[in-house]
Amino acid sequence: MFKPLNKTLNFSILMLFTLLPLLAGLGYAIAYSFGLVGVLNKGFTLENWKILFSTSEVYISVLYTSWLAFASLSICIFISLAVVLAFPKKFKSGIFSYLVYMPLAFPSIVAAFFFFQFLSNAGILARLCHQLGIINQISDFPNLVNDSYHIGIISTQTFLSLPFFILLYASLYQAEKLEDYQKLAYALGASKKQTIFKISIPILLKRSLPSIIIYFIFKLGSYEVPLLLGKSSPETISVLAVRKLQKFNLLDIPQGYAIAVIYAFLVLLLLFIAFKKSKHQYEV
Amino acid sequence: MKYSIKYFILLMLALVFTLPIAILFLLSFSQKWVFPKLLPEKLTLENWTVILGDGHVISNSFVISLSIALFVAGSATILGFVLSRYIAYHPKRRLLTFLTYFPFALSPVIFAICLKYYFIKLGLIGNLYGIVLAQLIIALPYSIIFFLSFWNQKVLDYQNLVYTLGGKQKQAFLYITLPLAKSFLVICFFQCFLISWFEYGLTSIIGYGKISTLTIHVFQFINEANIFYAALSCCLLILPPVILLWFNKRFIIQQKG
Amino acid sequence: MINRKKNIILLTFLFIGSIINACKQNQSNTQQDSLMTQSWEEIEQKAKGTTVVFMKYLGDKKANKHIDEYVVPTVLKRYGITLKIIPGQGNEIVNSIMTEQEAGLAEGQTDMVWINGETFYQLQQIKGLYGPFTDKLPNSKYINYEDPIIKYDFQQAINGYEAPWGKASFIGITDAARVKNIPQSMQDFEAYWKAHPGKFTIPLDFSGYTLLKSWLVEIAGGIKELDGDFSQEKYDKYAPQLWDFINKNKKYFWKNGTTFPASNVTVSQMFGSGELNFAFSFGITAIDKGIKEGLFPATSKAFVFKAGSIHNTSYLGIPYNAPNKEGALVVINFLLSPEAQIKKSDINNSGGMPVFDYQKLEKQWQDQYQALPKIKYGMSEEAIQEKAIKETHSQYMINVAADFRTQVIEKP
Repeated sequence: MFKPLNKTLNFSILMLFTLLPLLAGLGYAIAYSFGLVGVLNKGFTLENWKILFSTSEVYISVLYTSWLAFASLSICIFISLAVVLAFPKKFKSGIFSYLVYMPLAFPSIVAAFFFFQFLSNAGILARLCHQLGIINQISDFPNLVNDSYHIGIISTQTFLSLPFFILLYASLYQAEKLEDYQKLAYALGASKKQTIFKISIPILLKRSLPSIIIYFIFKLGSYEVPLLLGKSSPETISVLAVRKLQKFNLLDIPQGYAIAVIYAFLVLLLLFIAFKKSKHQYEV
Repeated sequence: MKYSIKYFILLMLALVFTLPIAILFLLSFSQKWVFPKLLPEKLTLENWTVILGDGHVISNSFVISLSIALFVAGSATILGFVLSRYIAYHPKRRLLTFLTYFPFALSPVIFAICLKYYFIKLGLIGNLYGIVLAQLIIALPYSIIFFLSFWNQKVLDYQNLVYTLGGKQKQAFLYITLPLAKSFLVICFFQCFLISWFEYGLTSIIGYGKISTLTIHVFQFINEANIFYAALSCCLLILPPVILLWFNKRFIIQQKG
Repeated sequence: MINRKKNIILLTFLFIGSIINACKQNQSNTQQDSLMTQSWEEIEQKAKGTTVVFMKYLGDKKANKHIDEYVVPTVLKRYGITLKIIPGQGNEIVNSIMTEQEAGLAEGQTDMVWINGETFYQLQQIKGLYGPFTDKLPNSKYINYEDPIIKYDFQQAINGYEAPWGKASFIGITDAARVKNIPQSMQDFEAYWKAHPGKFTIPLDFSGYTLLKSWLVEIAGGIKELDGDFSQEKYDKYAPQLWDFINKNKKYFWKNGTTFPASNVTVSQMFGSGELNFAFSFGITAIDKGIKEGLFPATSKAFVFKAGSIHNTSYLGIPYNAPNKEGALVVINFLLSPEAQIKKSDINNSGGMPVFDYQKLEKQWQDQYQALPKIKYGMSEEAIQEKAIKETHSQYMINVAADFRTQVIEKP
């Protein structure tokens, strides 16, 4: 039955699925962006990188993607902390312990589709407002998808990650014995507010930091949600890279690979930080 | 007073969690739905009977998606279990873990774009092998990372205990490791199933549109503005996870994206 | 802990990887084949029992249905060919073929593609198409290859490297109940936008870019000025005026011009729901189709922009590395047949104009074509023909698409 496979074989399989695709993929992207491979490329050149950095497009894209990830995670963390501290036991058993899992059954693309149907100018919310007499015609309804404030994307992303954080905080609440700390604090005369802001929240945030960073990295790479709910500009990194690679101008392709390289190094850097921050090596 | 606010919040939360599913199902049974109307003019089983009918592309792709997901989940779980043990007791554990995290954290679309060239070279584009391999590249790291928390000192101690008592490796595995790992294995299997089941970007690039999984159809229907069929395919995508949830809520924990 | 040394080693690896790759430069191999020396019967014989992979744009629900319910089963029944449709358009097609070329693959993934304009131009640039093949097709006899609208694809001679499949003419769609005096010139539109803000937008696909080209032609004072090869000088002269015009007015567009829908499919939906007052189409039958589907109001009307209706043809091509060229030839030949062309032109199917020369048809087909349900709501084929203008060179399309992004979308 089970024999610990021999070491070399183990190592090879591991490398086959981790380091090899990584080196190969990144290598190809780097080579392409410097003009070393590709039908239309003519040998080593810095031109593609120069063009890429000559406009603000890529900087804006990185900032924009980070901002989206930051905003949706902040809202999500805020809601989950509030909910868990208000109802620490609700998610352990009973109906809510089931309901909270529902968004996890949604692939990003389905969530994006739903929020589009729900929030768009002719969507369900707009129809509801129309029935209630709040708006008279479609154009009266505020833009909630493909909008300047990115409400559509942020709502969808928050919806998708909410269960994870609620469950994370609910379990940390138990694991870190927050109840005991709180009791202790009350006994020592602390107010409820103090207990929450000086004890519970700092402990929960600190313990969840590696998870937050990992989630932030996931959000940086999100593709389907901004593709369906975002504006034509700015674009998130994935959307921008794919557009450069697959849309009109063939000469943009090396730039698309350059963006992929930038993104990969960004992820590497953030992962490195996440690893430094996590003392418990098992539970990133 | 205070309690009513609390209940209101809970009610809102419950709505947020359930409304999307209810609405998607409603849309999947609808046909005409012009603007100011809140409810569709026509509710019908027609969409479902057409799409789930014999040989329709959607019912086919449901089977394709299911087979891919089951296979990917199975192999990722077994391989991940073995490899994670190797990493867990390796002196360079932390570096190896770091390397494993990287493919897991990377955006699958961008990863796919960078790997497409090699897949073409190896003849792995536009066929099931390619998709399975590509999905394994993201599911396996997840599985490894997942199992890393299983291989702790306690498990090692138990195993060593069996050896000291004169037990064989096989016995240690069958009577100690496997029972301990059982629930981990099950959860990991379902997680990997979902990673594969939910995948879109990578599959569309490596599959070349030839292997039409359910997520690819959802996108297709959205592109041709066929919202009722899109909603129906969405329901088909949501259904298996919801059923799993019914069995055991622990099956579903983490989601990428 | 990961120590720093390991990290440096890792980075070095990355670069080694990239250098290894760089050494593997590939070049495309040009096809020398015996395919064309075969008789048509031999080709049909070889194609029997094979699968043909057809990459095409899948944005039109009814057209997709027509393919699924008529083309695929008929091809299987008559020629024993399994036709597999995969999604892809424009640059996705170019990109796929290019990556295969880079990987030095003798056999690619696709056997035939639906293309025109800039896609044809770019595929020719990378020598991505097989040909010339149109002379080999028996059904070519129904087609007048000297007709300029067929002979030239966006000013580029097709030279047998693609076979015509459908003719299209660019029109605007509006609702007469909502828009009393239909604007035609750019001036008219400017006045309309100011009076009715939020009811107009430009999709970021070939429909939108064709609208932009129509305006470019209007600014240039007519198609004569932009006829022929691409002229950078002329483009530089007229394009800035176009961007000025749009930037000046985009605040009156849908969502204040801060975003543009990705496709004309979305625009048509929003036109149907009343969110927009204008949509676009390449098919004269689009309005009848839309009304029949219940998507468009019965008061919908077609109109032509002041510059005229840009006419073009879309074609079927065979990638240079198509694994099943015989199969592709047989399917293309079938799609060119009067029978398939008439079926396709039916407003219940794809709609649009057939590519055959009516005079060359046998009586039986002429009658069948005449018996098709007539267009009720749109403009007649004749009315649009009168206003038809040529397509400009593909490079105009490529430039307009790129510059619309940098000059309009990314400008606040």
